[in-house]
Amino acid sequence: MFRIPCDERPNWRKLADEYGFKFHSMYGQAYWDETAYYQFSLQQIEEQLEAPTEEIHQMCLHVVDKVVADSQLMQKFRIPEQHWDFVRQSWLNKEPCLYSRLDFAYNGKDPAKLYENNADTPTSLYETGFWQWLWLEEKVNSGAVHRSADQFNSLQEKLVQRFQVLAKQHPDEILHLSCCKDTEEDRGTVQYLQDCAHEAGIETQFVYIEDIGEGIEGGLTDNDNQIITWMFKLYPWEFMLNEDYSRLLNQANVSWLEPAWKSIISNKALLPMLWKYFPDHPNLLPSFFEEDLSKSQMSHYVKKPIFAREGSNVSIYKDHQLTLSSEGPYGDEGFIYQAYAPLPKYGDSHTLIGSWLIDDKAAGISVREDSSLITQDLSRFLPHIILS
Amino acid sequence: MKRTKKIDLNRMRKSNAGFVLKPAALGIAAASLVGCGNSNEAYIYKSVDECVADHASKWRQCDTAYSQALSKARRDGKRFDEREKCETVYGDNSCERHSNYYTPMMMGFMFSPYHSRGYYPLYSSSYRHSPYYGRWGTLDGDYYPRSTTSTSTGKSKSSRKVTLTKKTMSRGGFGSTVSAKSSWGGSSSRGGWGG
Repeated sequence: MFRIPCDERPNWRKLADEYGFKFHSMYGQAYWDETAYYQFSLQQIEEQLEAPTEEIHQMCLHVVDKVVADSQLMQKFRIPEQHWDFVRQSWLNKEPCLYSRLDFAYNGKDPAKLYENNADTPTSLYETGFWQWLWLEEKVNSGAVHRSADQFNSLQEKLVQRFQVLAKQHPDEILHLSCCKDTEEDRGTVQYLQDCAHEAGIETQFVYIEDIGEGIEGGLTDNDNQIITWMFKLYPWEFMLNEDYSRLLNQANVSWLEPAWKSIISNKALLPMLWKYFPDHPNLLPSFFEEDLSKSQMSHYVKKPIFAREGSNVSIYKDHQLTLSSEGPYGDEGFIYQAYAPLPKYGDSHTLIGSWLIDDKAAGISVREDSSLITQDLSRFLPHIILS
Repeated sequence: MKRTKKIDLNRMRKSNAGFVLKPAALGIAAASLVGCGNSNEAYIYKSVDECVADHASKWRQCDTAYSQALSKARRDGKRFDEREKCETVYGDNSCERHSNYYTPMMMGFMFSPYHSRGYYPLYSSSYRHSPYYGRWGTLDGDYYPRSTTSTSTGKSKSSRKVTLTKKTMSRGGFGSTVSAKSSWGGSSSRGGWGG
């Protein structure tokens, strides 16, 4: 695993316009960064990222199976009690899922360590599945990168295939897709999913989360008063389950992507549960609930809110002393504690690997860099290649 | 190969449409410019052929609108235990038998060219005292005027432009957490709620 500086394609911003990639720079700072790329060996990809990704996914499903069957655990995961049955049924009915992103600390040698599982509303999908794919295509064509270079990135192909499978379960049904207003990044991610669904022959309709309505005959409606029966929402279950329309969920009879059981594995309470069921697994970091922290004998650890996004409200402790923390609006639901395993440093950057799953198949990686040890939403996205 | 084998770049290009504007939205914009369309526009047709005659490029949507309305009529249509009771409302030879009940036959369906929306089977009756006499009616009791002329060119004239009635009681029951969290001054945030 190397970080290799390289020249930007002179026309890439124009190309981004052409393809509708609007959020490559935010608030004057680069988000998409092609002044360098990462190079992996095929062995690193297949043995140290691809295989553990699929294995951890199975381990997560094991945790879901345990949690939905246990009221005390549902409590620990802060699932609102009135929705326990809704979440449980989504699992017992084997409601299909679409995608996840596991975040790893990985340095090219030692086993990748799982930081968290973004199993409900992962973003940076377009940048990974299409934009870095196009980057490699152009770099190879211009001779800047060796012809035999590959990329761990079958994300778009697998997304379309997954939609084809899901379409068979929803013949002639419209897939509604949704995200919040005023966020170009989320809307771009959803547009990409719409494009992939179209490619799979699915008819789609977009509606903003805030515009979803309560139908006269029950159920949820879109802007045209059409009943929603099948919906992708880029909006976290932990928000939805605490909002007004959650009272409609049982009778609305919507097939959700992601399904409600994803609220369990996108939850940081997953991490201590994984450690409990699979102690000393090479890809896991020791993790504990608050009440078990003293027994854990950890002195270097990271405190993470049970619900949080984009690295908010994370604190790093060394010898029980707070050394670094990020701000944010989360933490009301409690915290978990994870052993401190800092991100590897390449130059001035701390590097995080996002490893994607489509259903249960590993589908590619994204590389993000942050100047801080805590990767936040102003991190930069860099492309990668495989060259053995 | 560990990457996607082929991507059709032409399909990924959004240069003229912009990233957020969808083809459906473009359709509305174009229609509004010539002053003859809005997002609530819908048409009533008696057959798929009539629909296709007006919207040749949307033959697949015509087909879907028809078949979905038909299955909705069969699933949600009013049920009668005797044929006669059904025909008193919907007219002679206008009811079909199921295992142990009768439902009225769908006589038309609603089609929206710019949006996929709900599917609406429509009824009409030859029986003078029926609420469906001389007009189109939906399962929910919304009525639209009926016109039956057609021309020799095959272009449908039976279509009626209608505005769909409100079927939503309230909006905004999702999304409240976001406005609460947003008020925490995350000025450096890109602002997404994914992760």
